[in-house]
Amino acid sequence: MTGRIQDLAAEHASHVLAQALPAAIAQATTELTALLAKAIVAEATRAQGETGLCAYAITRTHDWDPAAMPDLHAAAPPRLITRNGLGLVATDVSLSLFSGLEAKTSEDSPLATLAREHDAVVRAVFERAPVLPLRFGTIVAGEQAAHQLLDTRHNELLERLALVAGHREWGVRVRYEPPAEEPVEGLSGTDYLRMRQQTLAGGTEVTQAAKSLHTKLSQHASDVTCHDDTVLDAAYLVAVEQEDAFRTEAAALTAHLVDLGATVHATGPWPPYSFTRLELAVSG
Amino acid sequence: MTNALADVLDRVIGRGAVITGDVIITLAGIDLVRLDLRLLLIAVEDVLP
Repeated sequence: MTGRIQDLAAEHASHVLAQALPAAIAQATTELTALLAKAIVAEATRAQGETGLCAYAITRTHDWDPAAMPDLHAAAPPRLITRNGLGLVATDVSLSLFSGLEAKTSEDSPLATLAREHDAVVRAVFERAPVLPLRFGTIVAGEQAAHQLLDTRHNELLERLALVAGHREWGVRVRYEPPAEEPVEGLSGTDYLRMRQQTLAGGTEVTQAAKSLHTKLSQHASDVTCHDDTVLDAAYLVAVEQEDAFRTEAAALTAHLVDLGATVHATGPWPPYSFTRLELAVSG
Repeated sequence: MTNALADVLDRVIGRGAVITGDVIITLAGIDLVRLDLRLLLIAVEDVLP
């Protein structure tokens, strides 16, 4: 018996090995990438000195009210660095604040605190002037770098600010989980097919209703962005004077989708986070 | 109204203008912070409702 097992093992060893190798390489790549990224960030934090300018948003030069800024747990309140009509909202931070952040999504995690602070700063500015929110964790080298950024893309930034002025962003996400399938056992073939058809029809109806919601909401919006990963994950840039019409329409159409069994998650108002589709490459 | 944390993370980490180039603190051409964030975003996407 033992001999037979040994024979089998010998016979399949190369095959098993061939399968295990790519799996091992993939696993090692994933684990080492994460470790290496952490190490590089730690090294960079050391190598680049201790501080940088954490930038939150680009805005127009305006009557800056420091008292309107939220308190930050590990930095001075943000200031406005101005240049030819444009301003960068930023504060000095210790770079170590941003290294080693983990994607723990509990409210008291360092990432959650920093992300909420970022949002609070952007909103505080947004309430007084048009803003182009910057991606969380944008650290520029210093005031000179800030000036360089505002100089290089001066006209484009002013144009973008004009586009989002007087607007707020609203998000709508629609999901649909087909009802859990009944146990197939005991169902006749005909019943099973009917059940499958009902499930598929429900999905189609939701998709159509979501499409119609999107079309109607888009008519009240100046700009729209969409992610494709769900039935609908859209952001609408809505002019303040269109908000009532937009929200009334959204409420009615949402009710219809909920009746069809879909989940609708509406958020807002937001600063125009989804409408600053720009990558600002700045070289000296 | 307080927004759900997942919605805030989606907006502030996943969207907003990206700055690249000399003005950003980088090492070997990789944005110091964004390097970390790419990993974060992947993890955060997994927990979005």
